[in-house]
Amino acid sequence: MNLEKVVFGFFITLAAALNFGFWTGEIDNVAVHNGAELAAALVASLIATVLKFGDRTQLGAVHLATSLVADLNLIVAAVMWVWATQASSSGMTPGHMSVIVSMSAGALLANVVSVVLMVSEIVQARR
Amino acid sequence: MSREHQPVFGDVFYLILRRMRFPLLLVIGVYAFCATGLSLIPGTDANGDPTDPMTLFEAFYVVSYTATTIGFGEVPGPYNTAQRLWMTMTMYVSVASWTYSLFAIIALLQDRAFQNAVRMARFSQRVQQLREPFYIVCGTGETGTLVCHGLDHLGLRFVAIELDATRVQNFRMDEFAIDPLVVGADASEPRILRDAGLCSRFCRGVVALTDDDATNQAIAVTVRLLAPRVPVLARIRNAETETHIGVFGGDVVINPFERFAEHLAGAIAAPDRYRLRELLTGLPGEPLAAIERPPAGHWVMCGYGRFGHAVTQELRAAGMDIAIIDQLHYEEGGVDVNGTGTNSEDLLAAGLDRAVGLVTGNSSDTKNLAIAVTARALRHDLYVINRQNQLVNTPLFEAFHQNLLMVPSRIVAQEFLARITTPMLNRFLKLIPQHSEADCTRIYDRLAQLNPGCHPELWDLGIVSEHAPAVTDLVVRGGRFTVGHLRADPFDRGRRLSVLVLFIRRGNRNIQLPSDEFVLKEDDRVLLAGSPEAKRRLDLTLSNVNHLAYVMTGQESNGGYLWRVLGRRRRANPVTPLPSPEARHGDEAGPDGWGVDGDVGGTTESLDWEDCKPKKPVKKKPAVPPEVAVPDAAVDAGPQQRMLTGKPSPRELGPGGPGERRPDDDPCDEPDATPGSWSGS
Repeated sequence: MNLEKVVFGFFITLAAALNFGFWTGEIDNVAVHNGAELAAALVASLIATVLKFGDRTQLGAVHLATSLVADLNLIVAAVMWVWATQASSSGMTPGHMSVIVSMSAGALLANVVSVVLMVSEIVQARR
Repeated sequence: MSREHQPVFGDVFYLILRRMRFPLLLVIGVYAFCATGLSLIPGTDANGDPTDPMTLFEAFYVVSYTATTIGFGEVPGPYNTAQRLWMTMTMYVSVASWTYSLFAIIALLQDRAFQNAVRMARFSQRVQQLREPFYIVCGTGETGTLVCHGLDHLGLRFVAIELDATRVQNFRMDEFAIDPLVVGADASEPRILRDAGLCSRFCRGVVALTDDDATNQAIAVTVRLLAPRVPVLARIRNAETETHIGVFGGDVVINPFERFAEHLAGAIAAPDRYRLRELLTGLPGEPLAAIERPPAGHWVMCGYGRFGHAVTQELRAAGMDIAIIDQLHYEEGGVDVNGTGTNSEDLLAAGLDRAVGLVTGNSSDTKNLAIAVTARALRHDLYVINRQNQLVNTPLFEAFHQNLLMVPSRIVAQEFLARITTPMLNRFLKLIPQHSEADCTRIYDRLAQLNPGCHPELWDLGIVSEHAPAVTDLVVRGGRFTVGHLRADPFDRGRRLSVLVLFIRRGNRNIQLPSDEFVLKEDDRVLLAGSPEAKRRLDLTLSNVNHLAYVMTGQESNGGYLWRVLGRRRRANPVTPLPSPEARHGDEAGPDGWGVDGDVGGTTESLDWEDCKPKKPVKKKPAVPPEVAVPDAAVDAGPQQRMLTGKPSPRELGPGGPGERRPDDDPCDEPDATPGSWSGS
């Protein structure tokens, strides 16, 4: 058992899971999406990204790329969240929420690609 | 090339990323932990009533300015005790994690391996940006530096690799016309050679001149395997190592001692051949050194080391009588006098009173000079050959007027330079021993005229479109381009440039000193010698269609591409024979007398136009060149065909009429017509 693989597997799955948790529910329903979960997903995704730093394999490079995509989407979603709740005069509206959730949906896609890559790597390794 | 290309700056980037992995994870973790904690603790308003905790964003904001020790105070409102407790912890943890990351980066920047990676990356990038032919010089000791200066002198780029850091620094201080590319690394590592551009298509050769024979050998092997087309020259001091490499790559491996010994023996036995060789391998533009003829007879050799052995062997082979003086190698045998040679007793015991010459072959310059001074005091007419080991001692050796000075580093540098910049010269030098002394004198005299008082320029020319576009175009379309056309002045075709065609390589045949009538073909490789001015003018003929047309037809045309196309459609100028050079050039254009020749050592096929060779150069009429070079086609067609073409074909006759033609112009002509060529159709 490789500890590095465990840690990476943990964080990539955690990022995907948290992201999925945030994303589920009606896209514009403010009540079903939790800001803390979004923040947690962002942190998990950042950690997964850093874990792939310096991995020179082809798969490692793709992992890094997908993680960066997820980070980008989640950062935009988090900024939108902060804007909507604290800066915007109207507060969190269903319109804001749908943008945030759709950004997180993009991140989720990237996360899913990451997980698929990881699983395919495991399948290929046969060890 | 692209497959070999390595993203070297990527290496550095990945190194940073890998090293920064843990520090960054720590920072992210600490931020997340502290911000989350802060966002969970309920606040207190001005009245002491509990309020909602901060939002995650506010907590992240507070942690961010706390961690970076900017410190904005307690925002959005004054904190309660629980919040202050948490913030206290946050300060220490976050600042500690930041500092740790900072130190990690600083440590990385100071890391030797990292600095090496950055330096190699920068070097490799500069090498990759080279877009002109360059040479790789491994080792920048005395010889290496001489080679680099020689290349610089010739206007060629080079990449230097040197293991010793001080030497690298000294090398950077040296004055070069172009800022030299030098790196401190071990050239025996294949990766370093590759970074130095070995696999680049601009790499023209590798010179291995490190202090260590094994390293030089490793370099030769690496080059042979990774870049088989790149010529490699290695200096090997130990004679046993030499055979190995020689067998391996067939490249030139030079042992400076043996080389000088050979030269010395050659200078005694065949002085004219030696003179010719010196002329050819000298640095172009440098003044010709007068070479005295060493006398034959009894010689005294001081020092019986590697150099002494080599000289003794060669001199004995040349029939000289030698007495050896040595102290260090006396026990090994073969030494006649046990002594240093610095006192007159030793020298007299070795028979100095009846000797014609003296060779000092010690590895100490002062010792060599002391011997030479003592010997000269005894015998004023003695021929003295000194070995100079260190370039810094040059003023001392200049003060002592020896007849021949031997500087191993110079010998190697000179020879390497000549061979690596003109690969064809190497082949020609191998052919020199076939020539008689009289031949060598004749070649020497003609070469010495080219650039009076100086070593002539020597250069290779391939009849291929990248080197000689206009000529290659003409030749491919069947045009008849002769050596005479090559030598014609593109501004006045009646004159000849001071250029001499030494040698033509066609397939695996060697044609030495072809006459002016010799017809060049596609893919011929030509070795030329001449003055710098002649080289520039020749380039005009080779690459400029208008100049070429003038040389071929005598008609001036200076239009552009469109005009040429129109002109071709209308009427092409007929080819006219080259007028004979004026009287003052007559001797130059005279018959060469040397025709085609077989390959070195007769190992390859002999020429199949042997029967077409001239009987003898006609001495009485020097303006008539012998029909030396007959193209294959004529021979292949057999004697019958040759008879058919024995008469001048009317088409070939220019406006000047048959009277202007030299009588022997046609037997060498191409039997098949030249459609699309300058002769017009």
